[in-house]
Amino acid sequence: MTEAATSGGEPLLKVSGLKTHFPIRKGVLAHVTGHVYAVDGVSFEIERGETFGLVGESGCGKTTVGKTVLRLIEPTEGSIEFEGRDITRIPREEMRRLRQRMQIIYQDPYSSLNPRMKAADIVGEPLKVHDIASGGALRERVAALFERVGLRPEQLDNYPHQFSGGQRQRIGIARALALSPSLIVGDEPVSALDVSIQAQVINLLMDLQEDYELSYLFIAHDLAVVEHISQRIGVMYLGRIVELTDKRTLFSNPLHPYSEALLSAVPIPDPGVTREDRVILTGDVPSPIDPPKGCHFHARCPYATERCRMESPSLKEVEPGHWVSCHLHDGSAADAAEPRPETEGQMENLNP
Amino acid sequence: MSTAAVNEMEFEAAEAPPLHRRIAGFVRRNPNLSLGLLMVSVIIFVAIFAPWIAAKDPAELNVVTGRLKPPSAEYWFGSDRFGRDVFARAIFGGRISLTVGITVALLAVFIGLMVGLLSGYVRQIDAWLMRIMDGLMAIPGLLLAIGFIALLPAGIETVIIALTIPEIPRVARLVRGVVVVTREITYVEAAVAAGAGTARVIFKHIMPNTFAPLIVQATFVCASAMLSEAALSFLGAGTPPEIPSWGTMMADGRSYLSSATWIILFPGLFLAATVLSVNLIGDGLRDLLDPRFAKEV
Repeated sequence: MTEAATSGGEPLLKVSGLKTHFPIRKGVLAHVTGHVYAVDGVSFEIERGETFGLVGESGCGKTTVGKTVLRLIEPTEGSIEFEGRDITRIPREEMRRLRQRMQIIYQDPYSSLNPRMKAADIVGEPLKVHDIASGGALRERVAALFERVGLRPEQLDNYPHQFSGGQRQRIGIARALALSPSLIVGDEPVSALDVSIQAQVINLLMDLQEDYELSYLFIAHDLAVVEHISQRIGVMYLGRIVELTDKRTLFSNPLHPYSEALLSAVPIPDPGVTREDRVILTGDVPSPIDPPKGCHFHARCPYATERCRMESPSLKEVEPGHWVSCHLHDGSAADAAEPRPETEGQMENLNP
Repeated sequence: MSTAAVNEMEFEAAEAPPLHRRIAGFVRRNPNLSLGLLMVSVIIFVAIFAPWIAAKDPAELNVVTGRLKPPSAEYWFGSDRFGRDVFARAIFGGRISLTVGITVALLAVFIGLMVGLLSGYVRQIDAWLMRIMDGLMAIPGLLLAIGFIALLPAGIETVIIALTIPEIPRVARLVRGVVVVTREITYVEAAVAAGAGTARVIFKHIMPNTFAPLIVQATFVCASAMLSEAALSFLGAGTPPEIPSWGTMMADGRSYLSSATWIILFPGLFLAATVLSVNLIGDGLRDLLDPRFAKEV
């Protein structure tokens, strides 16, 4: 899988400088009084057959990224290239047809299924609306999808409320799978499930990936889940990607102070062991309506300098495949207050 | 194994009591709805079979010997100033009221549903449509209806149109409210993501959520249309006087209020009973369809 991910050729999905701002309207005339900068300049690529994890805390814009990529939310700026084609501004009807190639699995298995429709109609809807199958052929395909995701064909005519949470999520997966897409956006697809069910669904997703050569944009806040399923991971903070690398590097050598804090929050499943490297952040995430100047993280960063307050860092490749958006790691660390020993070593490597 | 089978059988037996027990249970749980349904059924039955129930022709005149007779064996509800049988006219008049009420309710609900769906889902036209609806709502319904009647040729169709238009904004607002909430539910976005077109999203995924409140609203529209029809006819702006309707009958009897009360009393009672029973159905349906209003069982 990793080999496939790193092999050449154009990426399946290429997102560059993506911005999604929501206007805030007030008053009788609904004039715009401000914007929510939900996504504020995000770039990444997903290779064919790869799982790209997107992590970050609530409200950092990761779900908005996923929905904007599918144009369920219209982007404000930037571009989205899918299968080598710019889809940022293609007309609605063309986008509708393109949805055959890109699907989504939702977080909430309750609200994402229409309670008035039978399970078979929910799973069959994508096939029906794209005129791919109807009648008996449709039912056969839906039954096959049911079996593939681990549901029994006898349940075809049941309504969503007759299924458990895990089963409902399988219905959501079958619906996303129906059109054999090449990209599936998983918007926290397991976070609403019980831990034991989470593992089952994750394994199902990984099996399906192998069988159908799927690519996932996997959005989550649970690092353990993301570590298990992803090849590469992007860490988001307040509308921007602050660090992007393969999962091994991220977990062994996080460079951005935010990633560091985030990873140190992963619990160790042993009550006898206490973390010594725990980084506790102070303060709250600033509002995306009025993000701080400079680096979005500077107010909570233990290493922040004057430069961080003034100048916004850009995402730079500090070592092959390892991108960080931090002034501590942009090669000109002269004015960094206290470069940490391990990062200093890397910088020497980069700047001989 | 065998006990499980027995238990299951008992369970099934408990689930399906005989029909009369189930009806009794339904009536006990929904007294308003049951009473309303019973009354409306009787009224509709009487209106449909009016020619067989009434002994006399509602248009039959008896100016010489039968003017302004009090209720008697011959004239059950008395007679009016032309010697026409008030009972026959009252049950024939029910046809007009019911036709107007039901037609107005259906038309107002259908048009209001379309306007509300469009307004709630297509944001670009929302403000425009809603301002038009606000404009209509700002004029008193009866006044607006009289205006339309003045513009259009006299007849029952005109009454229906004139009464439908003021009801549309209320239905449209109700539907729009449901649509605005429903469109944000994830399964609607999921349908878009699956590739469903706008029409499918609106009619398949959003519209069914409006049905429960709409059915309730329809009964209130029906009741209010019947009252308005009577009011219009009473004012002489509604049903042409030669057609017996409760409103025209009451207008006729106005001059004889003190001497021949029955002319105005019986159509008035019929109207009140009909409106009451339709409203009872509306209240009962609201309790049944919306658990938030339901009383403790």
